[in-house]
Amino acid sequence: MAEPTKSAPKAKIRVGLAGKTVEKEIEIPAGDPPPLAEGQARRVFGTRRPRLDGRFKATGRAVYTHDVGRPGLLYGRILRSPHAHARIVSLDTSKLAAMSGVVFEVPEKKVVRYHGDPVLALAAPSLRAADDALRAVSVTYEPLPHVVSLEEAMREGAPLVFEKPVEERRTAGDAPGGGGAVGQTGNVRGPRPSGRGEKDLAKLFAEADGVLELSVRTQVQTHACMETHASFAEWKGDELHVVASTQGVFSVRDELAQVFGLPKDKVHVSAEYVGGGFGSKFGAGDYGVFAAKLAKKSGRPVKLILDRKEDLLAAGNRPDSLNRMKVAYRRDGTVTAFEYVCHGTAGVATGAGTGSVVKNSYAFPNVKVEESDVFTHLGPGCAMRAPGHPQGALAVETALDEIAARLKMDPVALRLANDPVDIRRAEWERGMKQIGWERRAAITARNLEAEAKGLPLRRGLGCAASVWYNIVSPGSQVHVRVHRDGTVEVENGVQEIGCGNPTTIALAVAEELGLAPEAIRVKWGATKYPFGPASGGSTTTVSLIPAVRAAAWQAAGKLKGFAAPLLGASSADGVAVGEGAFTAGGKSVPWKSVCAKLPGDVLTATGDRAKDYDGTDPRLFGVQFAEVVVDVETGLVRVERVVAVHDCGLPVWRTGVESQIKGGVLQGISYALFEERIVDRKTGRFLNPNLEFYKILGSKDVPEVVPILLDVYTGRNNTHTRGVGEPATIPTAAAVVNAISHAIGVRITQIPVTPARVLAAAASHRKEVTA
Amino acid sequence: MEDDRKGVTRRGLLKGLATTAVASAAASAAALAEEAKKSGPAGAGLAVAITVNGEVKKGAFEPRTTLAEVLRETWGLTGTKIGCDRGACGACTVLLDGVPVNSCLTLVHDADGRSVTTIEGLGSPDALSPLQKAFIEADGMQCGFCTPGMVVSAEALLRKNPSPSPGDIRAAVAGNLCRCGTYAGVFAACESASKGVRHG
Repeated sequence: MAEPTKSAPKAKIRVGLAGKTVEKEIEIPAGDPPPLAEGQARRVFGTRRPRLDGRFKATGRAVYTHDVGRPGLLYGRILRSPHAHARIVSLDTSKLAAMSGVVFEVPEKKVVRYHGDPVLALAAPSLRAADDALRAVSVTYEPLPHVVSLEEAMREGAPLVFEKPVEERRTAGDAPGGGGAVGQTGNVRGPRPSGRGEKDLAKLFAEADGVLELSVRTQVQTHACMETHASFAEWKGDELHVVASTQGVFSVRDELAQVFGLPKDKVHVSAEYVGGGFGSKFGAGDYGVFAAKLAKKSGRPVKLILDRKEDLLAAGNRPDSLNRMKVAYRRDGTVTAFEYVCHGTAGVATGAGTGSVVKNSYAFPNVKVEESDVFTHLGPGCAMRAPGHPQGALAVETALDEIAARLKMDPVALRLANDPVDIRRAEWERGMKQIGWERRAAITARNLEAEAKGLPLRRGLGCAASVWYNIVSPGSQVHVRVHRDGTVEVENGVQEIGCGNPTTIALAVAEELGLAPEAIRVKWGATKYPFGPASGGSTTTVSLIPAVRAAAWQAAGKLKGFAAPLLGASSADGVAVGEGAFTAGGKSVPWKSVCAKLPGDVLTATGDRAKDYDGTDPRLFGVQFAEVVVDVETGLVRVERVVAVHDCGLPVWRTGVESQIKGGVLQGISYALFEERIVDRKTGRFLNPNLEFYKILGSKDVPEVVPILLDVYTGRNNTHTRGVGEPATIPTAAAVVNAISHAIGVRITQIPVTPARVLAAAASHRKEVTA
Repeated sequence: MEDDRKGVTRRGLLKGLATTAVASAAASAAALAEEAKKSGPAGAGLAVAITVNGEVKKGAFEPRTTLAEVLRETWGLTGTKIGCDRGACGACTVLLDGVPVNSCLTLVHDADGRSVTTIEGLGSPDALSPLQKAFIEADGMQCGFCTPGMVVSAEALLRKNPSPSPGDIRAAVAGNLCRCGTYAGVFAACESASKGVRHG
């Protein structure tokens, strides 16, 4: 371990966009390997290749929480409120006593606050027996007044969701900042003010060449992970063993240890394969706590899987938003003041703010933000892939496009006038070229022609920017263990949720040890291994890989020491490792021969995630361009192509990054066009909690997605690693919506852009044109 | 695997049968009782024999039991996933006599006497099928939860139509949802595992 008192050595390294790096003097924490340098040859790090766990996934052999089985297993189920708001008058469980093998747990709850609020949990010896038992419970409710729409909840005299002010619940995947003391009036928690520059914007608005006032709305989106939320619990003596479908085995462990009053070493959580999370699977979940309690009560293992309906009703969502903007701008397109007031509902939870993008994406000099959460009688929102950001990007980028239209300025030129960041300026250039932005004027002319002739199809091009942050989960640690027979094990507790951690870890180790990635045996997905980051906030790879490399680098150093005498070298310094052998002075010794010289059974090297260095801007940038075709007679929108240009530092595993970008784009298109939670105002019920009527993008909606990565030497860690999960989905909806607006010549300000909304907008346009 | 269904009585079972969709109007009480007799231990359900991945599997199940449930919970073939339990996501796709079906919408008794191929029957980590290899090469997966269903749907396509068009491929997996967004990889895998894609 590095001594904390030792002052860190300074090193001159080159940082910035690959090919355009500049020298910078940086403090490198003691014990950290020298950062990867530009021009340094790399064998496997940064390459395209198949994912190493692919053969388990493609054959159905990867085991998820849903798949865990044990003799004597009980199946858990949760009884949920059919009411949006009600008092529980009575709960009759008397019939359960006669049902063999049924145990149940009743949470202390007098009032239910949303359709889907848990009322009771039970476990039974089969899925069908559990269903039967649920039906045998009878609950009498006294319905109470409810409110389920944003506007109605904000009105004075609206039914209150909470009688008292509520503390914000925050998770690791939330956007940074926020928190603190916030006032609450009625159902409105806020406003939470923030911003920069002038406090009073009135003068700037008065002096502006133009002022835009615009409101942009977004809907509630659900995560719809293919593996619904689930937990398996088993007690062995006083120790709790859990398999959880989670984004954070360590956060689940900590939560369960707290709930059951156990020291952390008595709680063991594993999650080797996780069927998606997207922000909704950080905690143990009420279902996880129920599973553990029912397992304790019954003395048997319990598996509790939420069904799809429960998952949509109660397991989290991206809050909706109403973003009111007032923007002052100059004739040259520069924004001088941006006032941004947003409200959103996360149901009975908080976290609906969308103000980060307006503060962080562009260099607007004066920004005033007010964010408020509005409580409604609906299932709790939670972190979802870049909390607040797709909403904020849609609002800001819609406003910028509208300003460009008013100034008859090219939308990209307007953005460049407000965007001084060199990485993103390079991304704008690259994206414009790839999508063929120069066609835009001709496309506009053709659309007008089509309109004049009464033809139905219009084409549109749109763009938008992404901003995210270099978030690092401190404390990540990795063990590299080299055995005498040459076997290399790497251990870290991180779960695999699709980002490809087993592959990225193997690549980083293989690079340092000169081995094939397939030869690295990665052990992951359990709290028995060293601490790993939660998979959220684009923190996983950036937190993990520098620690992986540090461990492998140390192991390589020690092994070089054993190789030196075999090679006749005076010290380890002259020894190189690569292609399965150690070399020095023209001589070579195979990997295994050196390992055979280990003094002990195994050589263990520990790598810790060093503190971030102070290299480049801690923001992550990206831009996306979309090309759409709109049929103004049917209202159907077809996205033809999306170009996604992103910076994720130096990619560790290029294939994985590209796949993640493609997926983020598809989620963004799905958000822009299809997904919508529909709630009946009268009953307060969520009407489409299923995958038939809650529409997510499918195979026939998939456009060509072109991911382009700009390699950046971030100078923030020894591998220049950054994340990409969130950035990939942030600007997509905005780029698509701007393309639709371009196609039909009417500003779209609400998603999802359903055929009905397209028809309404197109009709209003025709009216304007014919008037 | 111990018998989890000791609590089910024959009387309850028959009562259940009468109210279940599987009981057709033509099914007489006598015929149902005859069926129930075949089921072995009293009250354990109705017997089925299904050829799963080439091997005959037998069991006795309540009429309301789905094929997906039995494959996963009784026979341990957990490669077949349940994502929605109502035929909307395709994660549970298996081949029933060579035809892709949602096993969550297939009652286990409707598979009686028939042949089922699950993802496990197509290949294994150490003996991948050409299509599974193609999925891995094209990175047609992220979290992997939808992947078995995708592979089975794609397998059904290629068996029926070894030279599909891009539209055929999209249609073949139109019933399979992937939330990670791996479709491009899935399409590429189908193309590379096919005997040449028909364009145009």
